[in-house]
Amino acid sequence: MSSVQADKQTEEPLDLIRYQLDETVLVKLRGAREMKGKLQGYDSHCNMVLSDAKEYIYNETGEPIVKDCEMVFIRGDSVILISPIS
Amino acid sequence: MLFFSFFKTLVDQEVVVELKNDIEIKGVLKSVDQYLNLKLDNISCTNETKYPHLTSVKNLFIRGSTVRYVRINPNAVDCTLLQDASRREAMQAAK
Amino acid sequence: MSETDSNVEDLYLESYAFTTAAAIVGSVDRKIFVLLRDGRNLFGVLRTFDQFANLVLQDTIERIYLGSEGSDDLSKPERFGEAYRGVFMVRGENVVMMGEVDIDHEDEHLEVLSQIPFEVAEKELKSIHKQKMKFEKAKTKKLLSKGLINDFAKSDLY
Repeated sequence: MSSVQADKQTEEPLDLIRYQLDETVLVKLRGAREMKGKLQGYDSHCNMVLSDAKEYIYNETGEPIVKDCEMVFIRGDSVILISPIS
Repeated sequence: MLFFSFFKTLVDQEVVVELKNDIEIKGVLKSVDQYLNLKLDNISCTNETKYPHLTSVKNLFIRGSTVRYVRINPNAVDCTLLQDASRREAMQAAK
Repeated sequence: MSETDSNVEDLYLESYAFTTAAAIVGSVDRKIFVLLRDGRNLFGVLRTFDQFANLVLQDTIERIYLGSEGSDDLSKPERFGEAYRGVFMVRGENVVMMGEVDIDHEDEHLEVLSQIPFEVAEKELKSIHKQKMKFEKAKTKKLLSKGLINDFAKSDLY
């Protein structure tokens, strides 16, 4: 457990992302993509770093293309949503 | 400013930048600024044929806004440090 | 100069290393290539710039790369057309990337391509872009019905 914790209990949307640090998340992206990986860092622009990530690129038909990446920075302006997955 | 500092720690590492138009450029990270514009040296393009003139380009300045991903060498990242820095930044923003 | 003065200067120089200006300043008065968001390739001598990466280029040449005749595949160029444009002031937000050109090797990749008149190339490129817009629009619609956002802006043809 980290020693750094928010002292105030006011909740805001980005707090949900903070709880997901070191957990696996699903990030939905522009360009018909999704990325699953362990959240290592984020900021208020939704810039993120994921580790052991799997990228899913969807096309109109058939199965998505899957790409693996050990460590990746995602620029926040492509992010649509972030969702915890178990 | 978290990722600005983060990229500063990655200077001289080899990274692969994927742009929003799907092309990937590999190179050694030389500089970064507050907009996360990146400067790469020794570049090579995974789709060299689409931009044939890149073979004669020595260094490349990539505008941050056109970047989709940056793939990083996992050994260059201290994950606990990055997680703590993210929490700290979130705390500061809440104040 | 007092000691505090030089400290201030040191601090300034240290932070200067990671600014937009520092990244570009080395390319001033050199031949650079600029890729714009609408897909244009510009080659020219960089004369000045600012923190937004607004650029002033001198003796600019615009070059269009095209695939083999009748092909709309831009990823395998076989022909090119170029036109002299003169002085350009490029607004930073339209820049995708820019790089210094090695003037000893800049024409090597052109040797395997055949040159066509710029007007012909421009016309052909326009129709390719038109087709691409149509294709992307249809793709976006299909993907949207699956809840996927394709995102394709008319200004992004690079």
